[in-house]
Amino acid sequence: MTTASETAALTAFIRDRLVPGELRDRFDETSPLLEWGVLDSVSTAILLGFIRRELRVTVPAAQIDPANFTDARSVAEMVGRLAAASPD
Amino acid sequence: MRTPGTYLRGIGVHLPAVVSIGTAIEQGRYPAGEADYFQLGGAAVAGDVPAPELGLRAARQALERSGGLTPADLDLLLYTDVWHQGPEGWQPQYYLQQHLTGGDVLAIELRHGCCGLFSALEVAASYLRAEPARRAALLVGADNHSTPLVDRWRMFAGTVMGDGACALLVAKDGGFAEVLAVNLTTVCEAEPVSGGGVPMFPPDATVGRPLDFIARNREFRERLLDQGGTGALLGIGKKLVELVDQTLAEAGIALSDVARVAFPHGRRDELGGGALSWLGLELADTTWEFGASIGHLGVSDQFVALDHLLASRALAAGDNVLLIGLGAGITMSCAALRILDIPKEYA
Repeated sequence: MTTASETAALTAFIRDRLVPGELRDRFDETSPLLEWGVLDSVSTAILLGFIRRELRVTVPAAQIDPANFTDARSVAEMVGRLAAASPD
Repeated sequence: MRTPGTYLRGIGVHLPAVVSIGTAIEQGRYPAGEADYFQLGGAAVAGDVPAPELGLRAARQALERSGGLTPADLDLLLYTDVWHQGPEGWQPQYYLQQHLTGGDVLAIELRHGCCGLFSALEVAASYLRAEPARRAALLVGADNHSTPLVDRWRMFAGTVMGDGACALLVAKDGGFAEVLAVNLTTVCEAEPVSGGGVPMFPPDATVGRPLDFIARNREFRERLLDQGGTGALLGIGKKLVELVDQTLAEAGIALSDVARVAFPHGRRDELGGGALSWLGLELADTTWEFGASIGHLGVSDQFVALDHLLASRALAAGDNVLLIGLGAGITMSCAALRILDIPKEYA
């Protein structure tokens, strides 16, 4: 299950670390990450590193699908599904 | 691809003297404002020594370190490169045939971007296994970027181009390292990343058009945004991790069993925050610091780094090493090696 705090943490990380400065004021959890060009190969890897370190979830390659990276909310939902499926 | 019975018998490296980032800044070639952020040390610069001559020097050293292999033992010579090598209508492997191997060895120039030595390794492993009598292959990677049409100091943001050569002697009957697995794959959707909308015809070199990867990358990104977004780029990281997973599985090891990982000599921030972070590695697990001291060599980075790890006694018998490549295409490559013993040249 995705918690509000996880969604907030992901939204804040993406906004502060990955979103270009000119778009930050408009950015929220429903902002389109791919249409805005926020995520590319490198920034996606940076985001996945954050998820591994801070949210303790390892995202497998099979989950790297644009549908899971539409916006910060969809990323949080994917993290929630993976966390729920984790044996830990 | 699993590569049972494939060994590295010798490595030869030829690196010219390094021109420091400080010197490049003094000469107005490197942007001073980027020095602290990217922390590059410099670039190996070959001046007017042709790339095939660099390759020949590396190949001779590889043979000297092979424990007795001679050019007569070779069944294959693959010469890999990314930049122009010499006269049009001529190919660089001919120079090594003339001065080292003779003409009875199948010798081919193999161009596969910055993954060329990985491709050569996979081809050589298959070629040697195809015929029981075949014994050894010589793989050479060499480039000299000291030419017009390219600016080694500003070709990519955060990366400078170095010159140098690396030669690998691959043998079936033993060596200091066993090649456990090697794989390559391409994200075809990202092919325009390197082309960047530049016309395919007439080719760049025939009309004197410079190579500017920064501009090409920017053009492709803008094109993607015009077409709906950057989703196609997610496939690059996905395929890279899949490739690493596949190679580790074929090698029968986990990432935690790997002593060191060698990546292309690229940007510190992209490597540390990106691929390493996702894989759960630290910069200290890699050869980034060495790479930053000589620049991105085109095809040779990971194998020159392996030589450096051996020379600096950072590896011991039994250690596993993972080599990861990334090149135009977008092509990705990965090889898993196990060190069997430390050659006496490094002791």
